[in-house]
Amino acid sequence: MYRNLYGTHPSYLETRYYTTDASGNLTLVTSNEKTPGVNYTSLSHGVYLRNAHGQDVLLRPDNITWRTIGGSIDLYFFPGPSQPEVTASYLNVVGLPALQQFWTFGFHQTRWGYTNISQLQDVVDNYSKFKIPLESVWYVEDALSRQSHGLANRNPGPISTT
Amino acid sequence: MWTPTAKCLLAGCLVLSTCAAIEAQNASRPTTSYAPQFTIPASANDAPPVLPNIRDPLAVDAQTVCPGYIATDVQKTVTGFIAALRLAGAPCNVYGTDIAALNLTVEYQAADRLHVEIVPTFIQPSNASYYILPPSLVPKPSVEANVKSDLEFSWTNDPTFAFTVSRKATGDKIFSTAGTKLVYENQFIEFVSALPENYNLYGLGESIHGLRLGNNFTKTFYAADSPDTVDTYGVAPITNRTAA
Repeated sequence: MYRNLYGTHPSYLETRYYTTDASGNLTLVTSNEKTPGVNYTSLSHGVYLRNAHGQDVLLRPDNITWRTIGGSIDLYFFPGPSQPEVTASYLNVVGLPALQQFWTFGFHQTRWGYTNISQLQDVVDNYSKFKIPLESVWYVEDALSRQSHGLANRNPGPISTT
Repeated sequence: MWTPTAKCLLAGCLVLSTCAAIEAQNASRPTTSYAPQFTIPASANDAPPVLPNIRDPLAVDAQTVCPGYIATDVQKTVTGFIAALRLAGAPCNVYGTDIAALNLTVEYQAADRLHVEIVPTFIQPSNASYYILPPSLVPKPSVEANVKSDLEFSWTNDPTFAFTVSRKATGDKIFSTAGTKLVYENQFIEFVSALPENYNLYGLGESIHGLRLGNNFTKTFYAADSPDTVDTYGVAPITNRTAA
């Protein structure tokens, strides 16, 4: 848990909440509790470190400590003032996500440990039987690379997915 | 990049597209042999334990031993200013070799973007790729003209170089290294920014964690495979941030 997965995104958003007095002065709220009847406003900003080396980011009670084992300090600050603006500013720097192929949004079935093609065919057939739309079937390569009697040595033929 | 025994969405093959290729591959192989399996040699147990710095109570705190920097030669530019940073004392060389001379560049690049860059002054072609991330790999944004920024950059040499980024409208310091030292070595860079009590901070990469990161959380950025204990795949939380 909490371990980094495939991609690294050395950036963060910070939101600060304030109370406003009659003359519009802001007072930072540091409590986690909300006081009923009080109007809060918020300001958010973003920070992005353009660095592709291994990093530790230490969040501590009163600071953020950024450590990296290479590269440079290449910081970008985004004023917001709210989350959508911060995200838009960030995307102006790093670019938009790639468009996905339409079929990837369809229903995908996956499992591992198939021992023969019939089991896989059964799964597909059951989707058809119950009229559940199925866009893709995935199986784990493990079955192919280690077992000469596995899936790959039998010609499965085309698999119907509708 | 993935373990074959893990539940594997991303690395599994699509049935329709890969069977023909695998069929072809197997045609040239004996059909009854098993592929040799790699086994970690027993000598691996003799390797010294590797304790991450963040979990090592005896690890030297760079903030207490390193000298920091002093800014000199400040020169205005069209979009901001540049300055030279020199080591403010004897090098600490705590996790590498202190870099004696750095270049600071501050650019008001757009109304919604302030750029602060600190790179070694002397970079050779042989080590440039170590310090400079090519824009062809990770893009660098263009700089606009006549920028009216919402942010303000200020800096001090007291006691050593530190900088603060403030929100102009409120004067709120959104990022400030005041009272901390800049550590810049060939294998270790550290900078520290103050945060308010009970801060609300989100993002910092892909991991299974509540949206708000809390104030005693350490995030290590190494791209890794899916953990075995949980069944999950990547989400880029930068696009998932909570509305203010």
